[in-house]
Amino acid sequence: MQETAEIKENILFQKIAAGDRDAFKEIFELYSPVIFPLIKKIVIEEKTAEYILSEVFRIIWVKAPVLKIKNVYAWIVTLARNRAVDSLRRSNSDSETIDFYDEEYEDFFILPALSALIMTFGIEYALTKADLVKKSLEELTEAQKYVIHLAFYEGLTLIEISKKLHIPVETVRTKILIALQILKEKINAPEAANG
Amino acid sequence: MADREIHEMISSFAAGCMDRENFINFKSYMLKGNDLPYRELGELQNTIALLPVILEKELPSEEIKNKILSKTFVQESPLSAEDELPENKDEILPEPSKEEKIDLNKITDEIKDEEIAAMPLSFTKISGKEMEEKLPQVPEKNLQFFIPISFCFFLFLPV
Repeated sequence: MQETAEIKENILFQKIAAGDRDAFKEIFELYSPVIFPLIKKIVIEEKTAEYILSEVFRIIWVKAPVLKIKNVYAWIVTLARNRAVDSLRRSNSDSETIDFYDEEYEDFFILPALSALIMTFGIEYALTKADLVKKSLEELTEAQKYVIHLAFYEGLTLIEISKKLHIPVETVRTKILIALQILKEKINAPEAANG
Repeated sequence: MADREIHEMISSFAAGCMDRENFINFKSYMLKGNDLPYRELGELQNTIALLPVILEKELPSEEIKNKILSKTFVQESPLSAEDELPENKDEILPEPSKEEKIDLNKITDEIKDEEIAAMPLSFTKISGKEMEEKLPQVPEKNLQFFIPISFCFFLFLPV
């Protein structure tokens, strides 16, 4: 892991805070190739994905500079995922149960709340982990992979996954816990870091 | 080491699949700086954030890029959700994904068959209700009704 001050994105965010448009464009170039496919995988429809992508970068431009973000990579990816899942949930809900999307809602439900003790790294480091992440996912059982998929990409809650799979909520909760623990251990294993 | 329910909660939080009420309680609890295994939470959040690196990279077209950049630089106020949804709601309903075609019965059977003993962590069980009770409830904003009603009461008092 690198020191926060050495990571490109952190420097770019400082520049964005000062209104540097070139820094913002650079963040767009760095992150859109990763978050655009993520958004498309969640919302499917191309035009909606483009809209969500624009929303993510609006939030970055307006709010990121005033927040103290330690891991810019995790923050942007989580933001994109949250915004896309929110859109998906809205499209699947009836209008009576939908929260009004305003700034207060965005701050609480869309902006990522990352741990203050999160390790920091940039997108370049994250991309070097691609093969390892793929391999680690392949080592999960089909059920573990599926619950992670339903939670992360389809935006289903524990109760919704429980109903979909006809299993108790406690079982879903345990599946998520085990799957994430396995992934975490495999991705962060010392031999994986060295290799 | 924290208890099993704490690990389950932070896993669900990191995966973004907490139910609304639990999410509100958990995030409020976290924002107050209450005790949590924050290092563990950070590791899980980083793990989840790494999942999209396996997706095929796709740079948006120059047209989209220019549209987004110009829109971002002039825009200061957040958009409402109403602006987001196309007129025809059906247009944005997702197609069934490849994973959707997986035999759900097979998955369910597999889940039932997997032994809890094989879990990497040994913890005690806790029900969803107990978990909800463990976290503080968010106070309701009912004071706004109380103040005007109190004021009306004073208006009718004899001088």
